Amino acid sequence: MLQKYIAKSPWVFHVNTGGCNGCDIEILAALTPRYDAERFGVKLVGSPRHADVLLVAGPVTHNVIEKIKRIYEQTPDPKLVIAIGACSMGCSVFQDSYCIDGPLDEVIPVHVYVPGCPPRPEAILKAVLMGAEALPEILKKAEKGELPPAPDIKEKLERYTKYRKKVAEEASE
Amino acid sequence: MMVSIVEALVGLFVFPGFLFLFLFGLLFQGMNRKLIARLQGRYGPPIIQPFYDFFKLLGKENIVPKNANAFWFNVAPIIAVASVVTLMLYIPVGYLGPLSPVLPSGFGDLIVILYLFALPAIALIIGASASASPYAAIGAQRELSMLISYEFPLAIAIFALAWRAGTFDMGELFATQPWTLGGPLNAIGFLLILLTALSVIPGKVAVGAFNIPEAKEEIAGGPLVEYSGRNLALFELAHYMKMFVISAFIVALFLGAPISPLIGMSGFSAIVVDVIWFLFKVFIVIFFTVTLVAAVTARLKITQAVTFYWFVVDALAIVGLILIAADYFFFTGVM
Ligand code: SF4
Repeated sequence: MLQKYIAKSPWVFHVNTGGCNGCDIEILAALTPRYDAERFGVKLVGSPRHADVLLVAGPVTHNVIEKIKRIYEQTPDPKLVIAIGACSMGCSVFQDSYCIDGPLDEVIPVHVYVPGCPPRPEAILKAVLMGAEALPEILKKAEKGELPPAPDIKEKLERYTKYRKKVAEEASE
Repeated sequence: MMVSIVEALVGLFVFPGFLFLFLFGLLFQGMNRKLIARLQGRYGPPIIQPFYDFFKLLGKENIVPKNANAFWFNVAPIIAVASVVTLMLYIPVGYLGPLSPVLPSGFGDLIVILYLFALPAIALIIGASASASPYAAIGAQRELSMLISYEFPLAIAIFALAWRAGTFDMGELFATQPWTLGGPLNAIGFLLILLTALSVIPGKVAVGAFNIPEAKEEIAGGPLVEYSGRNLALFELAHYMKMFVISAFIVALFLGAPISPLIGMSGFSAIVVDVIWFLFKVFIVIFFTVTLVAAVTARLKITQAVTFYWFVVDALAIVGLILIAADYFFFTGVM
């Protein structure tokens, strides 16, 4: 019942998962006084524990996969994940690179996509507002099992652990 | 006896307790945010934005970190809210009369109030220490440093006042308004003391230059970093209530004069007018000490803030105290 208030005060947390930083700049531009996101109650928070909306930019690299999973789990339910930019939608220019585990929706469930490289601040703001508005519906769908299941990333995480071990060994040599 | 219990419950939960504080704490915070936005040339959130935030947080999942001490982690926000609501019972809301004296003998004394004022900050420190996060630990340290820096000038200000009025009773102080007691030196002394008390407010509320413990850009929200859902809602609520209560306290001590005798009113309507007049004064104090400070200053380092309180504000308070004492001993004479 209280879920409808998320549309009135979506608190966003932004994460870069290895993009070129272009999207991050546009996300921050959306929060500047020019666009004044605060008039819709949008607030940038410093901890995923306070967040309702995760703004994720960038293709997911090997190094960041475990962190993005953890940030997703640290965010309290109900939450909304927005994939910002061409990178997080389909890896864009980083496609087929040796160090990429993405795109984002193969790592964590994603609810809203914002295309563009980078997308305009207006688009990001609109995505946050429309997504938050639609959140009760999304939750209802998730309850009925109509949403695609959460992606399985066990293999990727194993590869990550192996890779970290190798890095540690190389460093100690 | 029965009546006094009912009175106490009404006082605790409705007026001037929880409900009143909830309403005006969040409303004043909403106005505060709107005014900050207007001062910065933005449109700003709706005035009822804090209510949305509060109800939204109530509906969110309440996560307790695995390494946290779950008991203290959950109890700390309740202590914070409870201590602020208790504080409000000690503060005459614009008038002395029926409805307000919830406590058995008049109003509580200033020393209790002083201790209660430290309690929300201490609850925050307990909660932060229980949450097993390095960011929260840094935030708790900063909160503690802020606490020891602004408590001292506030204590000097309050004791100067109490010493001159010869009483620690909040109600009597409210009725006498001790700056009317002596000559011009006394008035100047009280002006300095008032300035001291006003400059303590931004530190207590942690806004603008003094938003050091919660600095979300450096330490990710400080003591609150691990809090979510209901617990976070309670802490935010306690924070906004604290902003209202500390301003109400300063107003009741220094600017408490009621308006109804001036315009010749009495009875119930006088009480209503006085409460509205009181709220207006609280709003003015919040505007100058919270809104303006938040809109025009940038965050200091913790050492700078402590130095400011210990040297500048303390000096103000001590000069004020000396002026009051001089007036008392040399001009007005011992009563
Ligand atoms: S989508 Fe474009 S701008 Fe955004 S991170 Fe990727 S490459 Fe950079």
